[in-house]
Amino acid sequence: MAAMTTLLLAAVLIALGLSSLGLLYYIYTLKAKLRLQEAELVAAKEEAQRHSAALQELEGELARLKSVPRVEMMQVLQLVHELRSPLSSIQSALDVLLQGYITSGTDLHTEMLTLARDRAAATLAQVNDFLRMGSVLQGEVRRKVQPVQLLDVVRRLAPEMRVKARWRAVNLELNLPPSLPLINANYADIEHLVANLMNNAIKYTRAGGKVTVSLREEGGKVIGSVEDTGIGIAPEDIPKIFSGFYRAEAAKKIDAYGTGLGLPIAKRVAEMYGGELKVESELGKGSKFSFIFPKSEVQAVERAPEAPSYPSSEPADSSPRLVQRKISGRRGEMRPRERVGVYVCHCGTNIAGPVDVEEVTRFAASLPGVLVARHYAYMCSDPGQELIRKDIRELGVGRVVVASCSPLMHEHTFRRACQEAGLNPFFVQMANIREQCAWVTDDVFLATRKAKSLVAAAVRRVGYHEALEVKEVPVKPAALVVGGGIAGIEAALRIADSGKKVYLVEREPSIGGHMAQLFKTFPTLDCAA
Amino acid sequence: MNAGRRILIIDDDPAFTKATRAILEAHGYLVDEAQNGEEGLAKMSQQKPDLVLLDVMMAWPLEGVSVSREMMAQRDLQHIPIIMVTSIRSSEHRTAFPQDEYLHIDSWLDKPCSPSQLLSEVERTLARYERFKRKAS
Repeated sequence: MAAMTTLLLAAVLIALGLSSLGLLYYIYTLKAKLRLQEAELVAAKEEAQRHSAALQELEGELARLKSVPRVEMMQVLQLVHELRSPLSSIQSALDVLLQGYITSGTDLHTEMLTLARDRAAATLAQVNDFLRMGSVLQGEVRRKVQPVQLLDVVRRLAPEMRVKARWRAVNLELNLPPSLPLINANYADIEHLVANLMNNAIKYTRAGGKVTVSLREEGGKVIGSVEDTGIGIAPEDIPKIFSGFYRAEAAKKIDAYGTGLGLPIAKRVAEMYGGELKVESELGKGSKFSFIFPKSEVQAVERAPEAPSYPSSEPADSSPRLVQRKISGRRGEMRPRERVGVYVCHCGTNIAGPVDVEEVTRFAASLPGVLVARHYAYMCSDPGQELIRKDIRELGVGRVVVASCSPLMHEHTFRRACQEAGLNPFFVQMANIREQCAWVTDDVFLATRKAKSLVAAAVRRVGYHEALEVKEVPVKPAALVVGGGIAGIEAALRIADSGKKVYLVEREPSIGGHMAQLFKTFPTLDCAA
Repeated sequence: MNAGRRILIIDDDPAFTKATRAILEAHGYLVDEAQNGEEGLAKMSQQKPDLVLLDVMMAWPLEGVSVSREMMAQRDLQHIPIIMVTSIRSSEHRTAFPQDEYLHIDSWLDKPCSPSQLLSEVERTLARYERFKRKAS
């Protein structure tokens, strides 16, 4: 029995052992399997996390996509709303005037008209700002990028800004180096940026304050700044001024009708050309706006001090002289789409006295091919020339007709103005309505009619102009005269009298030609020509 | 205020003349017409109109331009304001006007033009001429 029990026990133990072995094995495999599953789960979890991050990112993107148009739409609505109020005040002012409630000629009458005019001007400025914003936002690729000289930009803006500064009794100081590297940008955009900063600085500075514009080069960058001693910007407002439509309370007190788009546009423009726009400001003390642009790889050869030098009366030996060379254009073909700009000068009362300049301008504008016609007190003055340069740059005027005085007087002036704006200087045609109309008659009717006819002819002619290039070539101021007859001798002597070396060539052994056959001539009895 | 102002229409297109006449007469102008340049010049010398509406293209493409030049050459006609009303710019001669020759005109209108365009141009030109006459006297 004991043996049986032992045997049984042994058998049980063995069985147990076996089964526990089996169990152990089972547990072991289960554990391995679980481990495998765990790894799978971890992987799945990681993947899920990855997906969720991507999803979050997508959601963010979606939200951004959704919110951008909404923000823009809100801005458009806001702008339209802002336009409504000036328009309605213009309308009511005009209604009151039209319905005869206010006697014409009184101060109130003038006041109402001034109000309507000022609101209209402010509205126009707002619309222009908005259009500019639109073009900056969408036109990033289409813009013509070229090397721009910031010194030119500031110098050209200076006269206009000085007038504005003087109005507000603000002292405008320009701190410009003699030369500066070029930057790559669109001229009109950069001009707008600088003009905007200068206008703001002048506008938000109290009488007696100072605005300083400086330009400099530093470490491969061109840095400009417009610093004022004006009202300044509160620290909490600084991030907002670049975001669009924001206007600080203090700014609204000075100019109630701004759009708050000027600085966002300026910032956008700066960034478009790889630059940046920064501001430092202290409330009540002033602001300093700086724009920083990388310098262009293209660095122009410094322009000669006098742009096109015309032949001087005393050429030195081998001095550079000028020839004009045709560089483009087809002969004898009128191209009506030349986008002609016509500029009618009053010359004070010299022209505007006998000639109805307004009427001539209106007529010029009606001519085919004419894009724009303007009249101005003195076209040759700086602001007059600027009208032309601005139209070339902003409207794309391609040919210029100046109806003013004799071309002997100012053709050179207007050619230079066109060249400064990037137009070939030979695309200028003058119509002399002073010497040929105004100064030769008191008959307003006929003088005006003739001025129109000269302007029409000039518009026609300028369409035929070809782009010419001024080229300098060395010239040896010596002459070769072939033939030693009376004409040859005379020519040789005249040239020699003006100080030039002359070579006179004659095939016969002596000079004199037919003259040598004569004994005496009447009445001087000598043989001089 | 237009009463008594004489306008001479020189045009070889009777439809245009008729329509223009109706519009101008409705606004109180006295209207006369001529079908070619020669007739026009003769009528001008007799009647001394306050304004001439002159067609460019009649018997030949620039007949109107010749008429204006002839008016300019005659002392008693050179102060009559001229508005050229022309359809030449929609014809094959479009590039010939208004620049090919020196023009002695005060204003020009492309045909077809609306009645209001025509009237405002006529009024404007006459008003300007009045101003000139006041200045001259």
